[in-house]
Amino acid sequence: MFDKSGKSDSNGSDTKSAATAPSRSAAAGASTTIGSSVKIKGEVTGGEDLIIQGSVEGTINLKDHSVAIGEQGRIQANVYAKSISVQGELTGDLQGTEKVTISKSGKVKGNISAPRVVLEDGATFKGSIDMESKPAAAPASAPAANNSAKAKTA
Amino acid sequence: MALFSRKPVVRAAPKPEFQPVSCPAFSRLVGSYSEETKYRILDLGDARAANIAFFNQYRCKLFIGDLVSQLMEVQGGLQEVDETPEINIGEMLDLGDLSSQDLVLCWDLFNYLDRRLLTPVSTALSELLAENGCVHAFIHTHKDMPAMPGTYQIEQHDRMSVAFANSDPVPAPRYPQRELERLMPGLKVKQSHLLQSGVQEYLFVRC
Repeated sequence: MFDKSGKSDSNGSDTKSAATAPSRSAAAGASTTIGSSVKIKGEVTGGEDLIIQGSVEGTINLKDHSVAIGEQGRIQANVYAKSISVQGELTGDLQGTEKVTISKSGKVKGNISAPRVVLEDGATFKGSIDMESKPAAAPASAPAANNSAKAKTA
Repeated sequence: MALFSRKPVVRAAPKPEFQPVSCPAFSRLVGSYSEETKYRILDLGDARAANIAFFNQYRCKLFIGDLVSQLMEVQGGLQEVDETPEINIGEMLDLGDLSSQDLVLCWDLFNYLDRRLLTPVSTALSELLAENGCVHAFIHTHKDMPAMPGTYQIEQHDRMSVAFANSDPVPAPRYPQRELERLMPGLKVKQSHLLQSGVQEYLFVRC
């Protein structure tokens, strides 16, 4: 499910672990999960919803799908997706074409661009929020969605 | 029962309750906002769900950086009586380009700033404002005020609420309008309303 081309990361997990760790639910069109022990450096792209409980450094690009950063997720990346929810920690810019939600356990430092932004009380946020009434256009650099999640190691 | 128990009774500190605050100047200001224009708004308090939800109805770029707590640290470090620190809000907040703000939400800050900080902070704020930009603030007029700045949130365009941490009151600076304008030479009062709570609501614009 994941491409691999790389080396060991700092916590000792190698990219082979990263490639095999994500689990996909049996239901068609369901989400892929990056588990809490997985650390990815590079670009994550894909054509299905993604749940991240692990660590990602780089960029996450799922323009037609949702990205959920779980409570254990630790992200240093720019995220581009249809909808983004954050329960863990994220440093980077978030661009949601529909909605960005920061839950009460979420900690975000960065800039958000989305037509609808929801922050729950208790959430921590520092940065800017660009709220447009119309859905944001996809950036020119956004790659087309693939049929499966893909991670490239840096 | 607990009164006669030998075991110490541990009670969680009560959560501060939000009290309603009217805001006629704020209401008039946001009521004048057009759907065509995209506004730049700087919130100097911590991020609040209600405030973000309120501004979701406008085309705007909302910057959120907790300047209040950072200025309290600067204030705590002031040594000399006549020391006047330089304040660079852009550097302190690290939020990118903060210029041309249409509205700066500065709700409880001026009550808790040392006089030595009022001038450099207000000058720095005035430099961030767009030509017709405003600073919105609440300033206590009663003798006492809560020891810590309150948490404000917007309920509707004409109504906010505020919660203060439970603590003993401290003397309020009670700046009269003329004194405020003297201490804050970069700003002048555009509108002010004395609210029932004894708090004065202000809209400041650039001089």
